[in-house]
Amino acid sequence: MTFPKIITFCCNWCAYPGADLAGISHFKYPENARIIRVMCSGRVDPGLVLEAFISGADGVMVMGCHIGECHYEHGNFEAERRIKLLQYLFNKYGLGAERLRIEWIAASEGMKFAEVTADFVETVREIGIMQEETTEILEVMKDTFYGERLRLALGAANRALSSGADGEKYEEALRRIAEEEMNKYRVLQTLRKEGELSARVVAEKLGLSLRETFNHFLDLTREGVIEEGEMGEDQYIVYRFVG
Amino acid sequence: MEGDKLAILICHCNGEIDNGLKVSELFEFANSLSGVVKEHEYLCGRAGLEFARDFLKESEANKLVLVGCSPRTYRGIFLRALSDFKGLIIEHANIREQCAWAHEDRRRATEKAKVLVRMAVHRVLELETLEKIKLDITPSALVIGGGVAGMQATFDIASRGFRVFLVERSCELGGRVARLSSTFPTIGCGICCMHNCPNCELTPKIEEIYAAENIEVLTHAEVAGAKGHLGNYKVKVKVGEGGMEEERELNVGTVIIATGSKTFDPKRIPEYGYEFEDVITAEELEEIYLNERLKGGDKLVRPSDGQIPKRVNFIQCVGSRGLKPESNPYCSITCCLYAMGHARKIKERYPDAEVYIHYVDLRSPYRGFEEYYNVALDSGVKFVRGLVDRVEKRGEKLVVVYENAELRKMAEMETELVVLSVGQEPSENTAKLSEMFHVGRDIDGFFMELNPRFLVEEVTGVYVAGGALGPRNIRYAVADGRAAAENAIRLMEHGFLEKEGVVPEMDEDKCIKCATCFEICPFGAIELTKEREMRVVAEACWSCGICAAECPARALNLKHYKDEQIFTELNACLSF
Repeated sequence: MTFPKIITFCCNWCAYPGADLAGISHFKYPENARIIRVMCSGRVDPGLVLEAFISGADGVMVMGCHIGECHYEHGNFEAERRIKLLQYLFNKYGLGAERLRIEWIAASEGMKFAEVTADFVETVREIGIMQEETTEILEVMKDTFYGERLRLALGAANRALSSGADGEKYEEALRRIAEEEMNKYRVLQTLRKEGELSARVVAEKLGLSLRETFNHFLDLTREGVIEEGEMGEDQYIVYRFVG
Repeated sequence: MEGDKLAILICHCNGEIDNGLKVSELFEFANSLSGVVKEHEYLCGRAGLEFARDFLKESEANKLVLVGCSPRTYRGIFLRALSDFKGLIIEHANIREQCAWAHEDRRRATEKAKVLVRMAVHRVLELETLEKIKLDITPSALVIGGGVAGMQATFDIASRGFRVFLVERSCELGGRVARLSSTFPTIGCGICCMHNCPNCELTPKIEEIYAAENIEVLTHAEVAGAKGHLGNYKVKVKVGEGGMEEERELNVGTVIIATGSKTFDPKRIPEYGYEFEDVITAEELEEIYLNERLKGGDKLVRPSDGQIPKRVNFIQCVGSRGLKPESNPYCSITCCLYAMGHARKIKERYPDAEVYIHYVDLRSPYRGFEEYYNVALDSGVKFVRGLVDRVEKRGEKLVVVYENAELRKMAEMETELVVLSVGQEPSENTAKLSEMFHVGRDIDGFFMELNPRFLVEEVTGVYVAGGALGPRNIRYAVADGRAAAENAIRLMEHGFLEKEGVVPEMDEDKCIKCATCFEICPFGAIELTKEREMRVVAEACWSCGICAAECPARALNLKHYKDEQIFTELNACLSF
């Protein structure tokens, strides 16, 4: 497959028939985009998006029904919330938030499907190839989105917002949790890669505060993925990855 | 999966696919994969399906990849034709819509087609056999709303022998149509209203509904809640009023929502002067006629002093077509005709009265309308093109300030009665019912009209008819009632329904009992048991997979759309 490699997740009810209509109407679009059909855009776990990037995609698009027209009532809201959060992290870690896009395509919008796809392919072409070195941070991101804490917060969003929570504040909280979890899994990844390290060394390596690093060490120990080792020469206890 | 036998069938779609890509090359590529491959000129035809059956018998395959059109087009045909191959799993490589028809470059389209075939092959080999879910359909129906659409549906379902509950909010059947003094262009009365019009065949008869043995009419009744799923709903209905209320639970297999629409509240456009006594809505005009009729007369009297007005001005599109900031964006369809009908009626009754209709565009969507308009013109009704700016009171006089678009100038005239042709909008309970029965709404807030192209897949057991779908005239509302009834009858006569079985599966060891899935499922397909265990209610599931994407412990996974299955697809697409 030629650069740029694009994966498009399409929901079964609006976006996929929209893509079909583009074909039926013979609206041409670049062949880089490969469609994966899911029942609802709400099925698109950020883990799937990240897996696509790890497997070599240069851009990922999620397409669902227009807001208010979701076949499953609020699936597209869920998708939007997750993708926005993912875009925020992509931006923060220099991966390019523009590599990720969420679009609403109605079954009647064949033209829009073709145009959006062409535009996205161009955008990603300009940003360039997704470099191999990004795999590490993508793996951390995948751990973050597969981790219980962020998922609990994401999963509670719908109920919180429908019972009157402030949407912007909630998103801010999600971003903060995601950032903390990213750091936690970066700590874990460092230990996994380098064997035994103390909190001081890890904090220096990752540019985190000692206090935060300690907290992540504690959490990870509690989860049973790392364990306490000996005291090192610098009077700091080293920890090691146990899986 | 272990022991899988794969078959790949490539369809030329009568040359359509050959026009966009090189099928022979694709055939060669498919042959390099793990299954047996055949091609056919036109698979979905009768000969093609026979060919597919023979191929499956001889290859003994349990996995089949159909390379050709979109699964959204003819998957149903293939599922039906191959339904007796037990355990067969079918996957599609959509190379017609997504390759042959979508790309300029033949060579690159062929390359992409190969990837799609590989993706489908890898995917189908990962798919598990699904357990079909059988849903029994309770042979009784609930109709919500006793207007003409609801009455027609009730009558039709009952005459096919099913029990029907008809729930009506007000004290009598007939809805808005029963409150019309006359209907146009047939110039008959609204509904069988006993006003000496024995030949009225326009609408279902209230008496017929009350007379039928298997119909139970609940007036003063409102739906308060619903539980259950396709084919088996338990609906709570509050019946009665003023301290005499009781609650009933109805067990029904199908539901028809026929809650109609409400009229636009003209107070929202203050410049039309609805605060003045002699500025009335079209509905209020009907009331005046009906009251007169009860007194034995047929006079048109204005509200302020009971005098017969010498001049009447109709204002069109009140609350419709986005003409004023508060208006709805759509056309309400019926108003042109009823204003014209009333204008004619006034002219016939009082030839000396002056009748004006202020319009912006006249819409003539139905048979006979144009002729009707011409007769109105001939009878002396004056049509003034242009938007009405305001209606105001100067002393005791009502004054209409309007634009005359033909003369391109503003003008004003004194008048004695103003009738506002108010449009229609969704009735108050639309949102509540939409949530209760999982029926979507469109951008205007009406229930969503289903795209007939995709209707076949939309077997929900809940149907919508009449004005609840958007502005309707009587005839179309009645036709809607018929169509909805027909759908419900078909489902109930069949007696059961089978769903493919794309439902979540739960890994109980992983579950942390946080109840996120229970909260998030739009359809109540996850049950929280007394022991605080989550249980998947497969019958209620609609296969969206939101729960799988949300589950904090990743204990839920949607069959056929599991993470690993999608990973396989991604891998087949990106890693070669």
